Parts: sequence; C-alpha cells; structure tokens
Amino acid sequence: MGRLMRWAVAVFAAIVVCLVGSGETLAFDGFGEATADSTYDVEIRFDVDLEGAAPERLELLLRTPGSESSFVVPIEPDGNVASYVWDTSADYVVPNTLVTYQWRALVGDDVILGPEETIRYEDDREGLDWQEVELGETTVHWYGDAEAQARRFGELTAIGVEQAEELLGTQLAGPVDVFVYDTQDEFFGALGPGAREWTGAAAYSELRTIFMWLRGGSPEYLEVAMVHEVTHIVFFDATDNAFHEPARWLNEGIATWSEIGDAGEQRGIVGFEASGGGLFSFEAISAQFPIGERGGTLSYAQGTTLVDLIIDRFGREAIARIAAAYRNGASDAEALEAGTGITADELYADFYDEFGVEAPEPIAAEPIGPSSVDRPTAGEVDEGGVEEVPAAPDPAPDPAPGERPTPVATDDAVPVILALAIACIAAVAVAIWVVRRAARLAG
Amino acid sequence: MPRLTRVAALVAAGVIALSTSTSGGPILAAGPALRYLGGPPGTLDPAFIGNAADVQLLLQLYAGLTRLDETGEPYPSLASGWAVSPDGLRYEFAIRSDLEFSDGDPLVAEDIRRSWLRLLDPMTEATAPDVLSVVEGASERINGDGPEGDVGIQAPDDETLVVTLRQPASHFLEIVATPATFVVPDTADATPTWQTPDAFVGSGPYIVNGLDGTDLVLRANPRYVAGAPPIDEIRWVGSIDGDSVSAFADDQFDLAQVAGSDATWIAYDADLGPRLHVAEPLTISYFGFDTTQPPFDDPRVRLAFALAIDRERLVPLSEGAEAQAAASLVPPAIWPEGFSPELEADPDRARELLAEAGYADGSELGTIVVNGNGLFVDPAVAVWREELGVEIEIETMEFGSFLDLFETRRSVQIFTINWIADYASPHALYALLLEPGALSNYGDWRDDEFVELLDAAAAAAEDEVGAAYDAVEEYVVGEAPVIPWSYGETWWLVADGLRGLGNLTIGLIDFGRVSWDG
Repeated sequence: MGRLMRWAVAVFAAIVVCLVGSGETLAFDGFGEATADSTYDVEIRFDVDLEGAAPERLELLLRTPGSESSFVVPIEPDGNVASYVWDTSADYVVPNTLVTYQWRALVGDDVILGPEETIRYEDDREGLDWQEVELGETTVHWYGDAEAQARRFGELTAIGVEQAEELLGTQLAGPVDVFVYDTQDEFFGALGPGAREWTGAAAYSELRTIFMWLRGGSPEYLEVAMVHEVTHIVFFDATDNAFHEPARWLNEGIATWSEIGDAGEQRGIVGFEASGGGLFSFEAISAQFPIGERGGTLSYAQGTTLVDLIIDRFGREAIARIAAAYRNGASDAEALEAGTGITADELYADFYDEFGVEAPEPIAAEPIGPSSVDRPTAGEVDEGGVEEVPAAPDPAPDPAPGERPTPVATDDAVPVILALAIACIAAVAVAIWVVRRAARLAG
Repeated sequence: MPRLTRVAALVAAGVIALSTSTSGGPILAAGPALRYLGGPPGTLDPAFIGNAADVQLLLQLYAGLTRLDETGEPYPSLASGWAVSPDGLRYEFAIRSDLEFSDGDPLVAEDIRRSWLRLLDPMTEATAPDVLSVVEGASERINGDGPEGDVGIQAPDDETLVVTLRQPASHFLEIVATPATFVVPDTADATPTWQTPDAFVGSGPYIVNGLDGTDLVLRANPRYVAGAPPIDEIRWVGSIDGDSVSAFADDQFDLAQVAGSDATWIAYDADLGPRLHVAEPLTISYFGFDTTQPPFDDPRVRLAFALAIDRERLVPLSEGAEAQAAASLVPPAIWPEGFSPELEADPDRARELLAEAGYADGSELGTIVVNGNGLFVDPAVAVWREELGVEIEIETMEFGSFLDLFETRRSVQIFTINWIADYASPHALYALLLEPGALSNYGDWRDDEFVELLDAAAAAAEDEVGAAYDAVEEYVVGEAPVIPWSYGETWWLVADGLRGLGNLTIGLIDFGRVSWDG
C-alpha cells in the first residue's frame, strides 16, 4: 500500500471513529444491580453492574459498626461490571459484622452514588446449622442441641441488660446478638487470631454481639460471664464518645461487679496482694492490663473493688454520672470527679488507705550510657576558618546525650593531624594484621 | 544544629582537609548479638525509603558524607572534612582515601556522585529525591526538566566531591547524614530489587548476612569507615508470636518498641519499669488542606479550623501515651535552640474568621470530606462539627490509594499525614512539606513570603537560627496550610547494659555506635 493510500485509510478510519463516537458516545449512566455475598473466613464479594461506559473513577465505600469512617477502595471495572473481593482469610473480620457498602462513581466534577446497602458477614462454616430465637432485645443463635442453654443465655442477657441500664443510667441503644458455640475450635474460629485460650465468652460492643462457648466453663461461670459481657455492651452505649475510651479498669470493674452486685472475692484478692506484692496504680491500668496472670487478676480485682467503693460511698447514681461525663468527652479524672464529687487522686487515695498501702509511684528508668564507640578520625572540618578548635588529633570523646560534641581540628593543626593520622593508619594496619592473623590461626 | 552559621569569613576552595585514616573504631567485636524487634524489613535500597523503619534499617547498612551522633549533631563520616565558599553555595568535601564497600571494592568520590544522581534520576522514581533539592539543578532533574550534567555535583578526583547549592543551606551537613543520600555500590540500578539479603553490598556499619526465617541477620562490617562496630551481630527480628512486652520479659529481645498503652503500666512495674524509655519524637501527624480549592484556598477558613481545636486537651485525651500535642510541624527532636512554637486554641476567633470568610453558618461550607488516613480524626471532627457547625464525612483508604489521589490531582479537602523528618533540621519539614512544587506538598500551598522566610532561616547565623525558624513557624501558623496535630511518642524496652542509644529517636539510632557495657 502506497503512502497516500495509507493516509486515505487512516482518514476513513478516523471518520468512522468520529461518527461512532459522536452519535453513540457511551457515558456512564448510573449503577445497575449491586449485590454482595460472603463466605466465612474466605471472602466478602461485592458486584455491581455499570450502565453505559465505565466512569472515570469507580470506588466502593465500606463501613463497619463502631466507625463513622468509610473505607474507600478504588475499583477497576471490567467492561460494564465491577467487583471487589475482601479477602477475609487474610484480613480477619468478626462474624456478625454488618458491612454497609455503597458504590461511587466520579465523572468529571460529578459524583454519582449508588444506593447504600448492607451485608451481614455470617459464620456459615459447614456444620453450623444456626437456629435463633428472639427474646426481647436479644436474639440468641445456636446450633446442635443447645437450645435450652441458649434460651437461658437469652434470659440472662435480658436480666444483665436491665441491671446495667439501671446502674449506668442509660438505655440499650439497640438489639444484641448472642452466638452460642459448642466446640472450642468453632468458638475460637469465630474469635479470630489473638483470642486467649482461657476465653469462655467475648463481647464485641461495637457489633452488639456476644460469643459464648458452651464448654468454656461451668454452667455457673457461663451464667455470670453472660451478665458480664452484656454489661460491656451497655457500658459502651452509656459512654460512647469521639474523644476518649473510658478507663479499662472501670469498664471491667463495672462488668465484674455486675455479675453478683458486689465486689465479692475480688476484694479479697486486692487485700492479699496489698499485703504481698503491692497494688497497681489506677493510671497504670487505665489503657491496658499488665501481662501475666497476676497482672490480669489483680487489675480486674482492683477495678471491681473500686467500683464497689464508689457505689458504697457515693451511691449507684455516681456510676451513672461517671458514664454521662464520659459520654460528654471527659477524661478519666474528670469523669470520676463528676461522679463522686472528689478528685480522682482523692478517690484512689481512699482506695489505697482502705488496704493500708501507699499509692504506687512510677519507677524511674535507668539511664542509658553514652556511646563508647570512637568516631572515624576527622580531618579538617573547615566551616570558615573562624572557629577555635582544639589541636588534638584524636576523636573527641563522645558526648553524653544532651551534650554538644566538641569540634575536632583546626587549620593550624593540619601538620599535627597528618603526623598523627599516619601514626593512626599504621596502628590500625598493625591491628588489622594482628586480627587477621589471629583469625587465620584460629581457623 | 544548623552549621553554616559558624561560617563568617568563608574560605575559598582548596583549604580542604587532607584525607586521614579510617580508623578510630574498635577492631574487635564484643558482646552477644543484639536482638532488636525491628519488624519486617522493608527496602534495602536508600532510594526507596518508605517509612521510619526503613530509615532505621538503612542507617545501619550504608554510610554518607556525614553521620549524626546521639545528640543529632553531624560528624565526618565518608568525608573527613569540608570547606564552604564565602557565599555558602559551594561545599567541597574531602573524601577519605582508603574507603571500601563491604565487598572490598574501592569507594571514591565518584560513587557518592553516582549515588546522588541515581537518587535524582526521574527513571529511578525514588521516594525522597527532594532531600537533595537544595543542590543546584536537582529539582529540575527530579522533575525531568534538566539534564544530569546540570546538577551541581562534581567529583574532580577520587578524594574530592564538590557540591553547588542553589541557595545557602546551613543544614546541608544534616541533609548528607540522611540515609537517602548514602552511598550505594555501582550495581544499583533503577529497580528496587538489585540488592538482596543473600548478596548484600553496602557501606554502613553493618551488612546483611541473609534472612533467618523472618529475621534479618546483620553482621559487623569490617570495612566500615569507623571500623567494625563492637556488636558483631544484630538480629533484626521481623515478627513474633504474641506481644512484644511478654517477649522482652521472656528475654527474647534486647530492644523493642512497645505501645503507649503498655507503657502506662510498665512505668509502674518493678522489673520492666527501669528499662522503659521514651524517645525524643521525630515524627509528626498533621492535618493538611487542599489550598487550591474553595473553601480552603482562603487562609481564614484554614485558620478557623486550626483555632477551633484544643490540641493540648484533645491529643492526650484521645491518644494517651501514644502521642503528645504538636505545636509545630517540626518535632521536638530537631528543634533548634530558641525555637519556641506555642499551642493556641480560640473557638470564638475561629467562628469570627469563618464569618469574615463568608461562612457565618458553617453548614454553608458544604459537606467537608476528611481523609483520615493513619490518624484517629474523630476528636477533631467532633469539635469542628460542634464549634463551627460544619458537616463532615470521614474517609480512609490504603496508603497507596491515598497517594494516588494526589498524583491524579483529585482534591482531598482535608487529609492527614504521618511524617518523619528526612534530615535533622526544621528545614526538612517546612521545605519538603510546604515549599511550592515539593513532592510532598500535598495541599499544593504556594506562598512567596513563606519561601523568603524559609530561605532566610536556611542561611541564618547559628545564634539566629531559632528566631529565624520561629518567624517561619509564626507565618505558617497564621496561614495554616496545615494543622500540626501530634508528635508520636515512641516507647522502648531496653536491656540492661546497652549503651550508645542516644535519645532513642527512631531513625537516628546508629547501631554502629551501640555497645554492651563491659
């Protein structure tokens, strides 16, 4: 084909493209059907049909309970469909999480939103033939032949909710789900990585969900555990705020206190430890409990006992006032003072007084020594020749943290430096030779 | 810290120091291996530093013209000395004469030049080439607008490196102490995979001696400029089962970072408390604004958002021991003497400013989207809603997707960034995050007065540096292109007997200077 011919063909092709383009310009024309499906511990899959051409940018917005933030995932469409697979085998998601999703397209300056939809990420592992019953605000889920226990857990949940609502001066903000597992593997398979082996029940307050393991303890233990866990959910509702998570010792203390409405044996644990290894500072157990069995046990015990002290001395309403203060964005100290009328330090002091010990003090860190390693020998560091610096050719001693190092050489010192540098080279060479020789001999 | 201030009557080229030996460091290694919970190793290439952990690792594997001591002060490393021209624009470094890479190949001035040009080469697509943007022609080279030959780096012989700056920079000796500028062997190419743990060649105090499971094994480099460091082996532990506190208590590590939530109880623990240390912060988390689009192209609106939030209260309240309120973009670890940023909150003034900007009713701003990537933004958002009456939605995304937004110039009205200073000077924050055209000036703020103030600070005499950067800070606070939010608190558990860890600032811990007592 000659050059002109190729040109003619090219023009024709361009005209065709223009005609097609101008007459039938495909533009994004909104979202078609959007669906989602999940398989537990495998994936959550989202699909959407695109009407017309693909938009300039396509995104999937995902939101889970407990966060108002939308996680934005950019998506590359495949023709007029688009999909996203959330790999939950790698990225653990708690079962019963209600995922809110919405597709978003950007075309020029326009933003086109699909409808907001939800999918519940269910534990649909093989063999878990879930059944459920609604008992007031609680839906209890079980499989196998655990109906009787499940119903009992449902009743206890209702009792626990009522007690906690009264204590915390609030109303449950929404329904609660309780999932009852029969085997350890199935239970820990639901809790995901990081669950402690001694766990018999766990509450995920943001999800308003409690997981129970039927063989996680004696029937009596499981019954109080049920009350404990549901109290966490009411506590979450009573204190939820954008600023600050309430002190952990208080959260656990209220939940444990609610099990029997008393500090019970927890006070004994504190008394025993007070006369032995000493107690923890409440600041120390505000964010996290210490590692080890003693750390956990004593933290729970101190929290429960201080809650009991507050209720004894300031009335049950004090707990409701503390919760309300948290809800308004108070710090731990502010919330305790709002509830009791005395400062947090005074409250803590009263607690330690009761056990005849002093409030613990933080322990000072042992200082870290300065480097003992020499720097490379410096030559002339000439930053203008105006600075008086020592003539000594050896590296300056290393400064301790906070000290300024001393400069190392002057113009005048060059001959001295040279001489000493040569000596230094010789010394190093000898040293290296000795070391290498030693290494060869050793080898 | 900035050094040019000492330069009064500057000396012409030629007074360069004579090379001296590379001795000084101990020859014989001593003490057991140091087990450091460093996390999964990232890149082994200084051109591809992505985070503070990368900086921490690469500092051990490569060397540059200078190095920072435990106080953050630069001292000669591959360079034995230097001279600066009277106008502060020309640095002539004397490169030591007997330097070697870890494989025994000679290391000469041309290797430093080659490494820097590789960093600046747009084909390399380095993550932080702009640390060298003060070098003449460097910015043009980074942007693909200038040839390599126009970059002000010359190596006239093996022992001389001449660098020409586009403006005086008293912090240049700090810049050349940052790992991005460190020297790589000539096998380095534009790919991030040329260097591997099994065939590693470097220039720093340690070399990688392979992977053991998820642990990176580092060996003392006998060819290091300061000699082999005293600790012969460092195990850079990549991952553990369980938590770092239990692992440290079980003597699985000698050095490990711990969460602030654990630090609160460890501080009272009789066994671990004495071994708990807090580092000088070198990281900053901040809110940034898209300054090119309404409403945040109006400094009054930005300042209103800044003044509405009481960081002194909100940061400790929401982050506990994980962070401290930030008064400035510059983290305290690198505040120059006399630098004194202040926290300010004034919600009434904030509302006035919004009204002056035409938004007496905050809802007239429309729905503001905050991209809260990597930062818990809920407290600030709650206050903006409460105090300013604005409607706000919060979004997050993976960091890569987040950066793509800026590359495609999509407007991100309010965004958040966590940043570690690239070099130990306030200039590192102001220039790399706010200078017009800077790669990380995500809000695309362009302000000539700021540039003048920053240039003046870079050239200020030593006793005026603090005041000069104060002036920069004051201007930034008034224009509010960003809202500094928090400095990251880093807590460490340190085994007894370790010394030379300095302020434990992540990114500044030089294991080449660490040893065991005795």
